[in-house]
Amino acid sequence: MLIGKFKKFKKQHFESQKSTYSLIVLIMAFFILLVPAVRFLFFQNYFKENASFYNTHIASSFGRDEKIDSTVYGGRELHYNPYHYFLYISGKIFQLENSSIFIPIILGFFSALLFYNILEKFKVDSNTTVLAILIFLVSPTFIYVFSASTPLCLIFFLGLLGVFLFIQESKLLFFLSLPVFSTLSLFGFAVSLTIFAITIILNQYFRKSSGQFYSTLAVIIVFALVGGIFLKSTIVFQNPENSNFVKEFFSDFGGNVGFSIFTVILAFFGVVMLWKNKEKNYLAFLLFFILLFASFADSFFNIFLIIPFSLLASYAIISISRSQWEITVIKNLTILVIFCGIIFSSISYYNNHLKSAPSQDMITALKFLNEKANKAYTIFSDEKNGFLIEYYGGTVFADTLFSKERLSDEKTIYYSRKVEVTKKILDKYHVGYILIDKNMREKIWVSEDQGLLFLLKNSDSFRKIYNIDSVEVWEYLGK
Amino acid sequence: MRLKKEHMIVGAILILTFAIRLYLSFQTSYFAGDDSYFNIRQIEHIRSSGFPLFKDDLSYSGRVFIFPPVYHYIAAFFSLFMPLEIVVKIVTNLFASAIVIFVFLISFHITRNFMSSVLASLASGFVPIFFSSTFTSSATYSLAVPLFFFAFYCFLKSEENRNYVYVFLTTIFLLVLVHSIVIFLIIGLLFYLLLIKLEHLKQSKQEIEMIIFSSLLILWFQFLFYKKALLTHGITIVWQNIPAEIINTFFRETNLLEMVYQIGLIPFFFGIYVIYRTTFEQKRKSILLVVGFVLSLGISIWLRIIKPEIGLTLLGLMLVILLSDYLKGIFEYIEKTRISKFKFFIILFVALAIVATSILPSIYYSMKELDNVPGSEEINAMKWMKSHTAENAVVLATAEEGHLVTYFGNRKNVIDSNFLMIPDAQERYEDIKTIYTSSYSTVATPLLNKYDVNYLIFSEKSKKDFEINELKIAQDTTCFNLIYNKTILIYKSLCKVIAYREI
Repeated sequence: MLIGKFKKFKKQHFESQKSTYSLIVLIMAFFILLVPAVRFLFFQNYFKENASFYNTHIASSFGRDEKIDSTVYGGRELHYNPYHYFLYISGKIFQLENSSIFIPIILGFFSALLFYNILEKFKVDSNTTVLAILIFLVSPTFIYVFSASTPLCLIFFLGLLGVFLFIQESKLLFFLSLPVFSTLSLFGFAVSLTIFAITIILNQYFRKSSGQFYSTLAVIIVFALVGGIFLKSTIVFQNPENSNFVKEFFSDFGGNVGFSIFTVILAFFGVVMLWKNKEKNYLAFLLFFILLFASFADSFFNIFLIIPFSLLASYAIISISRSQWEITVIKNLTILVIFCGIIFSSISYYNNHLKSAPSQDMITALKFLNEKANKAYTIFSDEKNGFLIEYYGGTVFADTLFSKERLSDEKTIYYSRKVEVTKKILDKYHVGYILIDKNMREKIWVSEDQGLLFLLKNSDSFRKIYNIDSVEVWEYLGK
Repeated sequence: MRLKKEHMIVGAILILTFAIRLYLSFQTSYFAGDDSYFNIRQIEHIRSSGFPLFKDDLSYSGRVFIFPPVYHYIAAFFSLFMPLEIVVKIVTNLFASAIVIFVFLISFHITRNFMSSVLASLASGFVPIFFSSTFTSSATYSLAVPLFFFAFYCFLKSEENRNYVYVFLTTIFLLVLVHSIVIFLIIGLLFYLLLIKLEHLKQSKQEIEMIIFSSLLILWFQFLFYKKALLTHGITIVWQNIPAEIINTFFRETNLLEMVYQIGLIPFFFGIYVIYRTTFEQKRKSILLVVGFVLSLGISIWLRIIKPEIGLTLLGLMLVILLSDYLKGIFEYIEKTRISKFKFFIILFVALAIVATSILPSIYYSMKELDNVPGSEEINAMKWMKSHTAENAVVLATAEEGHLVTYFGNRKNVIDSNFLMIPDAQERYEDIKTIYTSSYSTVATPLLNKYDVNYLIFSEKSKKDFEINELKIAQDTTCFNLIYNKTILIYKSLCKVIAYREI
């Protein structure tokens, strides 16, 4: 009787502890994801990431059932991915712009909860779980993925949802994981391959019947092929920059989807500490290292690494705090420095993220162009501004998805001082307007007398029609 | 009584070092090294406003500085009691001379031999590269180097007395706020851990804890300080954004012969011998610690990730510590032989050898360094500009003269030797080189216009830097008016390019 009561009390206590932790996770996620929402609602009523403009624009094209993107001069075949369908459908209910802002935030919120539940299912102890989620939530990768409207947020959420459903005992929940994995596979081979590997590893820990296991793998393969052959989905999540993997990998060096250097160091410690169990987890370790090397080649894989990184870093901190140190003061100070390092890195990232382009001036200039410009003509600007111009209804000369040939013409326009050469290319692409912003002035030209800037000032073929502090629009009169 | 005598001897070495440094330092009223005047400007700004000058309108005609300011605050404090120029000379040399105390303490801790420690202390006061690069400059590492060795000493002593752990942590904290050489302290300690592991020696838990904490603390602080620079330059921040053409001047390759001269013949060879002995014969933790630092510094110098004057200074001082271990062995051996009665003469001989191979080269290099101190002609030209040019004028000079333009001339420069956070440093340097070396004013004028240059300084430094004998563009007298004609020439740039039509 007494034992029964004790067990009941223990169970109740455990349940209440569980719900407290879930609440903590929700509150943390809420506050971290609140910032982009507050920014959009009260300060800057536009997207922050260029990729958000692109994905929202593509989702709107889906609504018009377009096969060719006509906002790029010469047109371009449109490749939709499941995120665009999802955005379009929710856009029909809540408006596309609102969906683009709030869907990533909502998915981030649920991803945090799913991550918590998955760790619980893996029987990770509660302190490590809460700490892992804290590291996960404040990581620049999480902030980026769930504050920009890119397919990454859906991939991440579906990945966690799929894993969560797959590891449940219930057959119904397992079968629900199949449509999730199949949707994920439609995102392309890189995602499919990673999910495929994750499924194999999960099966090591949560034995499924061979029927269930192989059917899951078959679904992934079939849908990956369908996605690869018919959808040819393009995952656009950032402007490709000419940067090295160190910069992309560490947010402290400016990587958008990078990791805080402290998290990486702690994860390294975590690997060292867990290395003694490598026989038990050799497949998980193998996948971790493969993803690590893959992320050096393409920062897209960083989204898969943030989970093991958070977990390993958390394990390292917990191990440090539980270990017996000769000098307790140093131990406490070390933990303090670790927390400060992780949190300051995130604050700094958030700060830079909020300050990043596009500026309000740019948005105003684009709205001006949308209202006043003749839509029949192309707008020439740097390819990095391409997605923004497309979003605001202009036909753009080039964006970052363009081939080298067109970008080579772009370079000629930038640097040629011979008006005939420039005019020939402008005519070739039916250019009617030229948009120049502060970034272009700083990065492309070094003086006012160079290339296009020289021509704009000195040739009668151009007329300035708009000028704010950092953005100017010129009309090409030779059109 | 004995202790007092020891103190007196080390005190005498300190006074000797300080006195020679001061004597040489006061041979000129000015300071060597362009950085000195940057530091003096910062100290003056702290005195007047209480804060360093992080946003400067003059350097590069407007830029942001990133640097740890503790050295400047200390100098600013002392400048409340005496003139700034004297404070800088005295304080810098006093800090640098303090190294003899720390090297003595470290050597004594390792050898427990008074005489060998005294001789090491003497040699440390006169490591030629350290002596000549700090005796007449306002270099922040004159404070950082002694602090570095004090932290090293505390690390060694922490095994005996736990209080040293806290002193070590405080010193590390202070060092972080003084100079970025603190990174090399951590690299050295990590090398030490590696050596201990390789030699299968027992690792002290307390030491590991100290290393872990200080590594994380330093890493965090470096990220806090240099966050913006990291975002701007990425990993290349190590080379401080120095233009490719002159990076060899700052991070130059160091050959073995130069190392021997700059470190001192005796510390170099006997230090290396002790490393050999430690590697193959005796394996003592305290010596392995020094060897860890020697290895890490040697690799850093070889990879050119540390400025040679700093790298060789630290390396030289580490080798001096190893020298003390070698001398201890020699003295102990002599004690056992018949020549022990000549011990005094042997010590005298070693001391004379140190005088010949460390003190005399230090003085020789210092005298040579005095030639690099800006002369009164140069300073007068800069001062002349202050009184004869418009307040917002932009003055073009070489990178090495940039801080002189801002300090003495109080005018905007186009370039100086602090390249951090300058996005177009490479391009600026190339443009300036074109201006100085071009034969045509039509080439130079657009570039002068680009940086809004009003005045152009042609000095011995510009001749040396750009390997020219004359400023050819100045022959076009319609564009360049000679307004100051002494050893230094100052031209006023008169022409503006109205975009010529190529279209």
